[in-house]
Amino acid sequence: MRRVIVAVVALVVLLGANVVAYRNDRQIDLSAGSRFTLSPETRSLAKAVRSELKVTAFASPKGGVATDARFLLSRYHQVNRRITFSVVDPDAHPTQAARLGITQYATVVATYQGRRVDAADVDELEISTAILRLLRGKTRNACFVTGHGEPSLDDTSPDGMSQLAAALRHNAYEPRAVDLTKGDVPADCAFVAVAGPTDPLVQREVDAINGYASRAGRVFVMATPASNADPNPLLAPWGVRFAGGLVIDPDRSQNLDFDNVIAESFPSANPVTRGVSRLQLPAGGGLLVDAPKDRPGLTVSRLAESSARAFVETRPDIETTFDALDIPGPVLLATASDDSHVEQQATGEKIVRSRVIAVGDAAWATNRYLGNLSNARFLLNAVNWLAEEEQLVATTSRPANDRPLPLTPERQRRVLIVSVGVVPSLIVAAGVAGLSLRRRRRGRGA
Amino acid sequence: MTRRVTRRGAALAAVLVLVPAMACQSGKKAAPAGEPVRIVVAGPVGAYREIAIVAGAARALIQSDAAGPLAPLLAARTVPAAEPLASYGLDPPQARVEYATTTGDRILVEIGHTDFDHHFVYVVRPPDRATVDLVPTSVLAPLLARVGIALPSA
Repeated sequence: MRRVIVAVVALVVLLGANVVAYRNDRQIDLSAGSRFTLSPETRSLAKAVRSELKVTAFASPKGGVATDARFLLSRYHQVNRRITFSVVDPDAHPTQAARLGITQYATVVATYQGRRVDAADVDELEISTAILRLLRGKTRNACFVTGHGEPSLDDTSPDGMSQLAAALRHNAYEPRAVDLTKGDVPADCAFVAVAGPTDPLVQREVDAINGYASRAGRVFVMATPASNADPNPLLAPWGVRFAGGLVIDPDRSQNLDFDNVIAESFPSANPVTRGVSRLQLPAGGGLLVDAPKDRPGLTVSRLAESSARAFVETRPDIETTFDALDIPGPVLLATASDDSHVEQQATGEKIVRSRVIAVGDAAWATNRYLGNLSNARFLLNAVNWLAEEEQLVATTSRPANDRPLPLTPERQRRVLIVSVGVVPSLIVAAGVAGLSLRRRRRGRGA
Repeated sequence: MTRRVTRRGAALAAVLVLVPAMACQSGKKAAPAGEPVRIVVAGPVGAYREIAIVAGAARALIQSDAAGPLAPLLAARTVPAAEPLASYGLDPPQARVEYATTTGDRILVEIGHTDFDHHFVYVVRPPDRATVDLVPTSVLAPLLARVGIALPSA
């Protein structure tokens, strides 16, 4: 009788637990890199939707695209009920496909407040980009100064910056080359980028950029030590100086390539480094903060630093060991300057805000390195901070399946200590403890 | 005693594992399986005395050596007619294929227009008009050309 009661109680408990579990739909994403969860950036973006946003994915029910689309779009709907979706088979609904001009499968159409944006694929990056474009209402120009040996935005080779251009397009910025030798910075530039020039800018260009920056402009300077160009005329007004040289980091570098620096220290709370865990900055130079005292509105954030053992080698073509001529670490690798002040204008007082980001390296943004570690996220965070669109945070690609862990000398030492020191010591300690326990038992038995 | 406890534990563990697993299985929807190729009209060519394509006043007899793609006539997909037949170009159809069997029966297949990316042509075989079949454009385009119908290429 007792057995029966126990069995019945167990069954009731089991069924009750299943009913409760069925009615409360909770999910935990334990996959590597949370592949089945929307990124924090996408979630913020989805929450920014204020009226009905309809997403229609055209996909064949054969294959997994339609299933994936339903799964992904339901995640957006869970974050914000204003985002509704439907997955349509264009073969079964030719009128709907024709009305929206669909010409291929896996096309996503998003509509919001009478505007429409298409996404070329059913993935989070493409859909979030479409939503970002809808929320912003227009694509903004990212103006790149060219003609000084900068890596080309069309160059798909490892040394080119085509991936940077693609990342900007995914974030509703249209990269555009500007020639400042003949005119001022165009008014429709969201920011101006000086990305790794190897030849000096002419004075006319420097004046144009500085004039633009002082009038609430936004400038992104990627300096490179392997260059005849001096970025300091662009940086000095914003409290930053490019020290040049070559940053050598014996602790945080890619394998034994000490000038291939891995930045792991992000001391400021600036949104540019939000979600950035490590940066790969190869063959870069150091920066120094040199903020003038008479500029109370100017703040300079130390975005990324090297390890304390790093230094700026001022004569890298002669030697790469630390000496009295070098600048000791931690070396500043990237900065963000924000200069805000109130100006009296005809319409009243107005806050004028200039923003400048400086990185002592340009190779990090080339195709060879942009996809590494958090480089892409850093780029997009920087761009959105410059454009004052932190609320529409960058949509970055999902974490790659391979998750590289740079084996820096610092990390190699830790691995050595754990594998050669800690683990064998624990085994020996366990053996000694077991032996002494056994002896004690034997002693009691005797 | 120990053995009994072990048996009970094993039985309980089996129940705890199997019942929720079965519950999960019963709650799952069947995964959409790949749709089989549908036979709109069965073959072989020899089963038909005559196969002709008709579009308005134009009529083209298809010789047996060219009729292979029409007997059997295979559809890559079948979709429910979610929209009015006119949306598929089937009301009225732009052409039809007429089969006359050796036993004296007649089979009719109505041909609509191409789908959104022009890879397929919508067809129905009356009297079933609740579902629409999609036949590859490459199969029908050369035959429809004989009655003056040019299908858009993919």
